[in-house]
Amino acid sequence: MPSLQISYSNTIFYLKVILFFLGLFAILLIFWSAKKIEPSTEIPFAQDVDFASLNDGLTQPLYSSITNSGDEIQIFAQQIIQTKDKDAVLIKSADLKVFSEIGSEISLSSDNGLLNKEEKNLIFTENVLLKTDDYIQITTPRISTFLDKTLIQADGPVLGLFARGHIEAGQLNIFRENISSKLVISFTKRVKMLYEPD
Amino acid sequence: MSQFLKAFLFVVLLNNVVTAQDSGFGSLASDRGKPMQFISDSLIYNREENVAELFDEVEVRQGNSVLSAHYIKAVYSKTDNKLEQIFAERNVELKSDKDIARADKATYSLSKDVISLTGNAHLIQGGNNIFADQILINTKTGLTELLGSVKTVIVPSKN
Repeated sequence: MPSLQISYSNTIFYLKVILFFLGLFAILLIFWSAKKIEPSTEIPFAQDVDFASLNDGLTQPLYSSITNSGDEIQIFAQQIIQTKDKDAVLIKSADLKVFSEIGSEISLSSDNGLLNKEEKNLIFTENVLLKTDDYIQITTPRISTFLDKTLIQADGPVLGLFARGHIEAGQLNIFRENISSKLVISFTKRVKMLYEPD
Repeated sequence: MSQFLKAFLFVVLLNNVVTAQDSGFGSLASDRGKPMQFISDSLIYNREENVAELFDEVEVRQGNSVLSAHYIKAVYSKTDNKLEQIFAERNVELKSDKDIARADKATYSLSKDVISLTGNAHLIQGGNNIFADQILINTKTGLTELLGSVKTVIVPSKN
């Protein structure tokens, strides 16, 4: 009977030790799996991807990066088509999202986009639509965005919805100068904003 | 002598009084519910504060009423995006039909239905010029109140 007690307590002891290490391993596993994968500081598309190796019909590419102003940008596309220019590709159904540190989002979409890795810009054309999560919705013939800085520019006439009304202007610039500065949404060149009271 | 009388201006100086104009301020009361059009050379929208700032020759038109200034700030509600207040600065002029109010600054509270003009506030109504520390206009009724030191220049009728 005493020998049984000894072996029982030894079993319990070893089980406790195993349980302790299992718990420790489980905690480590949780930390490893929760580790945030930081987006690259450079656009992989602009730096690493060789346009020449891309084939027509490539679907759903996704690229993400942090701009020098601290915003995260993501680019989606349905199709990438090579052009004669080795530094540029045509993007079908282009979609770009900008996420700021506080979580606000700007999304840009168009039927066509031209990505130039040399100039690090993406130009949206045809059915261009810009939306923000605070209900600004803008249409314009053409918008330029940059991959390494938070800068969105529309030089043509812009039309859209703004704060329970409508807005039209000759130019739109959305930018953040540095990490600590605020995101600026600027309409210029004969701005008309219509507000409809209840 | 009669020519002199016709041209004579009565200048009345009243200190620390409140004067109310019963005639109302232009068509402000009937324009109140109409769409408001903001026109300017540039507009900067601050998303965090839900504020739109308009610069250079700004005009806000509502029906037959026009508020103009060099700088106007429109403050929206953070909950429902409703326009709550309009601040105007530098060369502020509020014109509604034939009535004109000028000042250095103006605040239009849409929730309280009040426009307050301060700093060299000056009301031109029915041929009369009234200067006051503050002009308060109720946009619901059109009733105009003149506060503080009020100076009135009355042009007598020619008849």
